[in-house]
Amino acid sequence: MDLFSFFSRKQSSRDVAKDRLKLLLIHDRINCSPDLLEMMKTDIIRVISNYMDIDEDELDIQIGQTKSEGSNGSVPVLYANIPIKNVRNAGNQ
Amino acid sequence: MINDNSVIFKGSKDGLIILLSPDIDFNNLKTILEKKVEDAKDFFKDAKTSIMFKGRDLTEEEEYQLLQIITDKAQLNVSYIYDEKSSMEPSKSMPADKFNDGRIQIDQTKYYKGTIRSGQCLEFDGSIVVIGDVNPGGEIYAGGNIIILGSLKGIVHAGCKGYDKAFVAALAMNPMQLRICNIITRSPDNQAYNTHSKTFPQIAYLYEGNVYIEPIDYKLLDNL
Amino acid sequence: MSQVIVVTSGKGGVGKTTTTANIGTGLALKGYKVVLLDADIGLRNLDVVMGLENRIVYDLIDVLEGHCRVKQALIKDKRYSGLFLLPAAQTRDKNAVNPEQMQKLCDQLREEFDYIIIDCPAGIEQGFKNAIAGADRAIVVTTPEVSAVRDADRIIGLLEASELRNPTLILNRIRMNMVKRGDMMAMEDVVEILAVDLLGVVPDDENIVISTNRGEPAVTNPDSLAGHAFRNVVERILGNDVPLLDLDISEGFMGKIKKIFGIGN
Repeated sequence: MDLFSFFSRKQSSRDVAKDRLKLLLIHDRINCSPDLLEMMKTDIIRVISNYMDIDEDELDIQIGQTKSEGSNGSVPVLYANIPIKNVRNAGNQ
Repeated sequence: MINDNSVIFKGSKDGLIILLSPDIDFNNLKTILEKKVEDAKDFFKDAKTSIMFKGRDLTEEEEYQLLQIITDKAQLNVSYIYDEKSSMEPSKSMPADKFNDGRIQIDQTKYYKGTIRSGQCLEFDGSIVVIGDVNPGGEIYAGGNIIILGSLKGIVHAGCKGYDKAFVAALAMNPMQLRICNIITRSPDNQAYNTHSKTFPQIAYLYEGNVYIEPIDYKLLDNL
Repeated sequence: MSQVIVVTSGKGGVGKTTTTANIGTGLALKGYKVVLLDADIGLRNLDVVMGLENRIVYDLIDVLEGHCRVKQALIKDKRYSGLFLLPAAQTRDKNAVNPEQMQKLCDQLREEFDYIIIDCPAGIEQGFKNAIAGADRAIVVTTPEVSAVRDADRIIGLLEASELRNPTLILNRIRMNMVKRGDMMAMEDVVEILAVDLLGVVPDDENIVISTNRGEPAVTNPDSLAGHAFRNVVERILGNDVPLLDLDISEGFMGKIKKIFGIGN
């Protein structure tokens, strides 16, 4: 049994639980609903579109966590992955 | 100077309530009662009623003295005396106004079909017959008798308004608590999980302040 | 100086009532005067775990509504003279009580007892608010499961919002063989996530089921590992520094015994 799990290189369920929990609690703690994220996403698209051509379908916004610089705990961060199709020339506008 | 509010008569549908001030001297109270009864003599004449003294803790002796005044001065036929405290004591879960009815009506019976589960509570002034089980945590309060055609594993209180001739009968008698009149008994500690031991019909009754639980037989029924 | 401790969890079924019974009994074993207060109105269970269910005449609601005095409702434990239970009502619901009444009751009980341990109902509604109203400190019970830890986190947030700061954590029902296999979160994982002080780790122990069956808290059983863990928890409540139970060794030990008797896996 242990031998198989070694070769399959699957993450142990203990680590899966830990990772899921961490993400879950970040959402719970800042009380950020999917609706709110969606609204944020629309707003971000609107603002950035003024300057750049972006791929709206591939846009990804997530709340995660990162090591805090001050203390040794972690703080929530907002990740945004926004693929750019074409940078508009400021002079063209 | 007689303070008119020291003794107040109040009629209720079941009898006469006499409110007594707790603040004045008992002898004073007697004088005031005497005068009031005298005044209302015609009103009381030959009436038959029950009386309740309220508002003051009375010793038996005091109660007797007051009663003498009432029966002497007015031709009042007192059929029943009840006081607030003793009628409140036996059961906690009945609302107070139910107790102000001094008479005990055990001849009426309520039938209940089904299981009384934990947290459910059946209350009735008369007797209760349950066709089903009473589970642990289920409660039954009856002014009269309680008969369970099933297994009794909950809490029952027969004669909860002070009727000491009340009995509890069940096909399987394993109550958490069994109360008759003002006596509370509970099952022995070491039998909590030994519920299969008593599966024959039994009856519980009060005799000289003790609750007895016995198999139902003819001899016993004759003596009840 | 007496202390009011509320045992809470958010999620149901993680062992609040068992923890309450064991901590209370453990403190009584140490000679303190303890009252266990069941705040789970409508779904009381502390009486059954303590084996006192057939002695209940008056309950919490009777006290709060003035049907009886506090002393009349207190049930004396059958084993320890300093231990008492104030049972919840079974035929009412949580809305029959308000936080002010509970606070008043706790203050009243302080005069009589060294420790008042409150068994909080599951959930975050009225019953929870009632249970924590009079408390000085809170113990959060959780198990190493995603759902229980998540609810514990929510509860810790709510406790802090209600001025019950620095709650301590009891990690219940941990199974070291699963942790080692990588199939259960370890004590370090849960503490890291919740970021609160650990009051104790209690292993999953068959003795808990047996002791609940009998109505005798496991803390009194010298052979029970969980009982040992609860005795350590009690020491820490009293302010004594006790090392965490080395569950690993104990399990190895138990494994050896099992092997000796030929019932190992």
